[in-house]
Amino acid sequence: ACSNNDQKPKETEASGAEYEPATIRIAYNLPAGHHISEGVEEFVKKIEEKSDGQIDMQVFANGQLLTDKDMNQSLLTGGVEMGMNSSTIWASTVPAMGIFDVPYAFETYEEVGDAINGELGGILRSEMEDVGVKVLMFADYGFGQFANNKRPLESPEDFKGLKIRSVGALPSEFIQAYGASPVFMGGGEVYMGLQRKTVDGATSGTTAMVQRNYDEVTDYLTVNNYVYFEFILGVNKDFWDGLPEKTQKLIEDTASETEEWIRHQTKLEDERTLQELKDRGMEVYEVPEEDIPFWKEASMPVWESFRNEAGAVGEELLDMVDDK
Amino acid sequence: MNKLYHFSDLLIKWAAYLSGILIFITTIMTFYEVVSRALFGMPTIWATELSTYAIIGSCFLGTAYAVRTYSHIAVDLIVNRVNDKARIVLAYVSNALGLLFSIILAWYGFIHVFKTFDLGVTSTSLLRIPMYLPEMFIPIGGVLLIIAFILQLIDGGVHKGGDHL
Amino acid sequence: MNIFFAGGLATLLLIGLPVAFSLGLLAVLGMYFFNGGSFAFAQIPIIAYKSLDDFTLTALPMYVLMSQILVVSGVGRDLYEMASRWFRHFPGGLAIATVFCCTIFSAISGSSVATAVTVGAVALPEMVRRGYRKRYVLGLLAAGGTLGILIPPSVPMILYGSLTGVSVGKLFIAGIIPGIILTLAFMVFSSIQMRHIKEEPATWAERWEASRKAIWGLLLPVVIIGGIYSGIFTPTEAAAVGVVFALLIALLIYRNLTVDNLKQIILSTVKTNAMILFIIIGAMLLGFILTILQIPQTITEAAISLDVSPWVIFILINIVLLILGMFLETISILVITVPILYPIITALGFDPIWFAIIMVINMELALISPPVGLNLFVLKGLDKKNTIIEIVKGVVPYAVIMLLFIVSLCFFPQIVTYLVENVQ
Ligand code: NA
Ligand code: NA
Repeated sequence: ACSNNDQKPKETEASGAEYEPATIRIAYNLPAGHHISEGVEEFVKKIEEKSDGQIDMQVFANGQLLTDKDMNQSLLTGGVEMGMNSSTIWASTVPAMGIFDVPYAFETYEEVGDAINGELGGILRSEMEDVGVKVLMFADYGFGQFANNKRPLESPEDFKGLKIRSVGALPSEFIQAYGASPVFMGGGEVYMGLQRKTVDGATSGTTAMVQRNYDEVTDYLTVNNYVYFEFILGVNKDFWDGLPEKTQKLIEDTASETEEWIRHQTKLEDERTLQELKDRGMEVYEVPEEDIPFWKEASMPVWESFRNEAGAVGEELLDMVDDK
Repeated sequence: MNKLYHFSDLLIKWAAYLSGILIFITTIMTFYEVVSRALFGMPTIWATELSTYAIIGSCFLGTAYAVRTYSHIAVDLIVNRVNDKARIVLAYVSNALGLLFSIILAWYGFIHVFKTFDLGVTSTSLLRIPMYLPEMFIPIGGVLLIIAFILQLIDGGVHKGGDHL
Repeated sequence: MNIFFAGGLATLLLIGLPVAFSLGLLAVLGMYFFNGGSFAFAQIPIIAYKSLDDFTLTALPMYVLMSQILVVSGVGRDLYEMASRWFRHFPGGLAIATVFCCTIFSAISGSSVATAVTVGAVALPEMVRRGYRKRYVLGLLAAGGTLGILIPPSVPMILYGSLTGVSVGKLFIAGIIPGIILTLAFMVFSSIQMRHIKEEPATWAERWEASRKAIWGLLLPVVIIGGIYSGIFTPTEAAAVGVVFALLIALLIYRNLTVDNLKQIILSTVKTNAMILFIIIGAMLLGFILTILQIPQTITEAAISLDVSPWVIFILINIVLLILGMFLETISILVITVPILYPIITALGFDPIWFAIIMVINMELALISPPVGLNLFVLKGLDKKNTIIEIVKGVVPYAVIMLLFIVSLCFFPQIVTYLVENVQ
């Protein structure tokens, strides 16, 4: 497996003229202004500048080319050279990627960073390369929380009977594990669904909740940090192998600089948007640290499910995140 | 030969009935979801997802029938203004082009389904449906379209129109 | 390259290749010549699948199915009889009745074609029989049918929502007042145009009798709109409720669903459904290749960088939409243009919901503008003796009314935004 965790970000001294011309198309589906989008924009700008314009990065943001769902297959077949989407989607092709959706696998931002830069990151990279994608960047989206319009959720029991809009297999199993029902509806209908009480709640990061004005349609926010949403910037392996080493190094170095910046930013953004939701009048319940083991215990069926899906590799990953 | 022609048309019509049944099934599943959620507070985990697959299936299974019944909207600005001979030529050309598209759709559809099967891709939902199953509708629809356009070419420039099936 | 795509599309369409396949084949050719040869074909099934992989799209076939059930069962006929008894003593009374029926069906179905088919099948023979001039009637029906996509529920609005992320519920609310105003405008104009015919008023007994018979048809929009706004079901799910309700009416009240009827319903539904969904696939394939070649982005940047007032760009957009509307089907126009126009419109500071309504009225125009206008085809299909020229002549005044309406929405955006801002 190829792992770049021994490469520290360095400024590249060489002049751009020495880079071979290349065109790289990069697609993702996050709105402008999101901190990951800002990271990607910076990543693209740096590569173009450092290569003196020899490397032409064509950006397709906001799902204009591909949505999160189609990204895997298009990236694998070379429809785009680079693509970013969520690890939850990748878990449908590479089950080990579901590790980020395992409840309470990671409890702090620093833990995630260490794991990705360490052995766990190496295993995930190698699993991804086996299907034909090289991971350039793990871009943190932030912790997942619950918003609902029924009641404050102060323990797993409070979830019982709620209808909660969900996406992805493991987060849905989490909702089931707490006795609530996951509801599947189109993204465009969630706001109205919450407003008209077709569903009782929804799960997402606070950054998304602010952007989609969840405070207008839900009353209670539960900060339980149950999952860590992770986005993956991948590059088609065949395309990557055809790039000159120098170009590869420039891209990898820039990617790891960006990755650090995004991780730092994620923490700030999670804090800022949580405050924003409080300011907008949501009633916030933050699960105290001493309660977390209890919340984690109640989510064990999801750990079991991940174990079933991801097999021996999954077992290995779970051991890594558990014995800290 | 004649038998094969009629069997092919029959095949296309069966596919069309299947397509219609899928739309009915979608209706039933969606309605069940509404009742189960609104009346009993128990949303299903399958209705939304299976409905989407059914509608994808309804399109690919029904499209060949739409070709054979001239239900696909076409621009007849020129076609209606030229003499019979030119009209026949245009019909051959457009049906051949339709055939070309269908062959590419079917062939690359097969490759795609094979790859999905090989990778073991599942849906990202609770059901974890093997994605090659719903994707299979693409090459199937492609093959039905190939048959439909070949039948159109056999018919020549004759626009039987409407519901000759 | 732009010439390749514009010329290619015109050529393929003009030789008679159906719209769906013209779009798809052009995408294939574009991939082959400009995007790495047959290597790029691997994207075709991915994009084809993605085009339909959206739960909100499932509403479309169900609305088609529902309208087929309503036509076959005779619900449409009873509604028309009721309207005619209430309105026939006004000048051009049956024209008013027809617009009224169009409005009712618009509130049931999300499609203009469905509305035009359902009302047209009943109203056309009846009005001609009672001495109304055929050209006027054809124009009225073609235009009245287009209300189907302005008055909620609306398939183009669902599509606009899924393309932009704008709330479908808000779009539906936004369509209500414009829908009522356009309805009234159509009623007033057609009443003046056909003022020479005025019938004896029906007695109150006759009116109530017809109303009682039509009650089931009248209940349908109440159920659908009520269910959506009370949160019992989503706008997408409303389509399924509509089908079940229509089936129940046909089975329990009208009792005229035979196996043969059912076959006819299934096959007509399948044809329309496959036609529309395949156009979406073709348009998405073409959209993919155009996007990857950065053609829409270039146009977007050119339009935004034009140093003119936003209103000039707005007018240009409307002209482009009118021209596209002549040649393309509404679904394809939306799928091709919304991803390009939406960023322009928001960048220029226009309200995205207001613009959605402008788009929808443009789509109404597309439905009645030759050479490709679905509602024109629908009315031609009702009676083979109708000619497209005759229908077009009849529809011209309504097109003018719609254009004037777009202009008034520019001066009075509150027509759209008032309800959105004040209804919770
Ligand atoms: Na409508
Ligand atoms: Na038109």
